[in-house]
Amino acid sequence: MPQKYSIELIEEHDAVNFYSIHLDVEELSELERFFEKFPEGSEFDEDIDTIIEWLDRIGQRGALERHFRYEGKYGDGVMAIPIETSNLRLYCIRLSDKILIFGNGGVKDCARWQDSETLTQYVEMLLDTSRFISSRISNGTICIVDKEIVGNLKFSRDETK
Amino acid sequence: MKRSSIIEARRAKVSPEVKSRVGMSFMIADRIHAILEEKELRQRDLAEMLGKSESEVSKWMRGTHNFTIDTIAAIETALGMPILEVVPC
Repeated sequence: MPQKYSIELIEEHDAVNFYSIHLDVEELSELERFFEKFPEGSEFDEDIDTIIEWLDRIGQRGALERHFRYEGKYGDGVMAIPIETSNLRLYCIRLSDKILIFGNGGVKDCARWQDSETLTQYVEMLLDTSRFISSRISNGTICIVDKEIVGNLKFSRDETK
Repeated sequence: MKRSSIIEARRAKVSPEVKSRVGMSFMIADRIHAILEEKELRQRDLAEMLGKSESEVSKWMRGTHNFTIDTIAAIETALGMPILEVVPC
């Protein structure tokens, strides 16, 4: 059964807009669901603090490529927020210096995300979304205007393919 | 500007130490980047100078790396320029 979702604006910052995937069947966006998984008092408090502070700095200065950790292939823009102190991972698409689209994340308990069932779902969803967006930009149904993504931001994805 | 109430609530709890650490890490990364640009060097060149891998140097540039004094001293020596200044007593 196709998985239906949209991309929605979550936060605006001076230099970057933060978008997130929002599954039709969920109340919250994937970025918010990530933070809800690690509430204050969890063993990952310091990492969550680091992620939020890093996001705020990126929001002020721009999503420059050198600040991200590559997770996908060159050109698909799928990145992880760079956390070195633990195996906590939060994934996003870096569409430009001014636009980030967040997926979900979690604790990487294998050497590669490809070996983790949960993280594979999150990263592959972003890889597919990156491909859908590139295709829609090419056919003109989506366009990028400064910090905004304009156009049809509803998607349908068959997870079995 | 639009903000998520869920992220805002968590943002309010971020520790001052983490804010300071991430801020310093970005400043050090920016300084290294600026020196590399000024000297027309790439991250790969710095890695070679230090006998490190390019991926190690990439980590330093991300804004979350916890630099040691040893690492900063090695970078300063390799690049021949100061990275940090300490306020004298």
